[in-house]
Amino acid sequence: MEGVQEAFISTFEETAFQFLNPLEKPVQEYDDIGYFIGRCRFDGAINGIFDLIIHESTVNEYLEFLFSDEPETEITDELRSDSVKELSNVLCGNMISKCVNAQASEYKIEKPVILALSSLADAGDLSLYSFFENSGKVCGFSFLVN
Amino acid sequence: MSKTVLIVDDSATQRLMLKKILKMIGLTDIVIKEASNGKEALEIVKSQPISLILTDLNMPTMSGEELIATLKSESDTCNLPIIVITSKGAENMQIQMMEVGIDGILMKPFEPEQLATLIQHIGE
Repeated sequence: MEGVQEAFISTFEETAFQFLNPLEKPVQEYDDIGYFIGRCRFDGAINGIFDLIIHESTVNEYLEFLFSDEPETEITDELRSDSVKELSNVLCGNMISKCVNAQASEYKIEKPVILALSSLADAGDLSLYSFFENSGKVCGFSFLVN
Repeated sequence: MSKTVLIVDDSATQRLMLKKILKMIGLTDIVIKEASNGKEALEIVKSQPISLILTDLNMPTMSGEELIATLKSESDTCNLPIIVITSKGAENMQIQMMEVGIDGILMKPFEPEQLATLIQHIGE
């Protein structure tokens, strides 16, 4: 699990330019306001699901950095969703490469989708997720290989 | 006359990131065009001179693989420099891409210097 977490942290930091601190205590529940869930399914020589849980404020910070040269650009919900999908896609690809030794394997990552937090709560098992702190907000992921 | 770089990615965030990286590596005197899939990219390529294409692979309507195959099959576009930027790291996919004649492949996230090196290599 440690290697998986390290891969997530390093890729997140390189992609989103923000630092993560692992949370020692497991997260039992969320305030379900302002969180995005980006989900990628991957299939082929390996298959499974990657989920990214990220707070809107973290997404905004990431987009503000990207748009620092174009401050007139409005950060819309569509752009927030797009950035969460892109982050999920990049993180998923890197987790597969770094953690599953899939370098020589054929696999396909499906287009990421945004899920409602309630759908995660229905699935119920937050113990499958690793959680981190980022500027006072929780960020997490699960990487499940079948 | 400024050179034109075409960025092809269905993610607006990724297109923005690439524009920022091109500025970071000093390419400030270029014209940047954007397309969100291979079909849109082909229309732009047919309508104006393009110096370099930076393309994703996994896109709706027309994928990066299809775009590359089309460009490489036509005499007027077969020598157009193409760099693939992808989140997939499978080694055999990278080999396949190089075999069809692309000029480089980068896995996201990458360092701006890696893109600068590839572009410099293409220019030589």
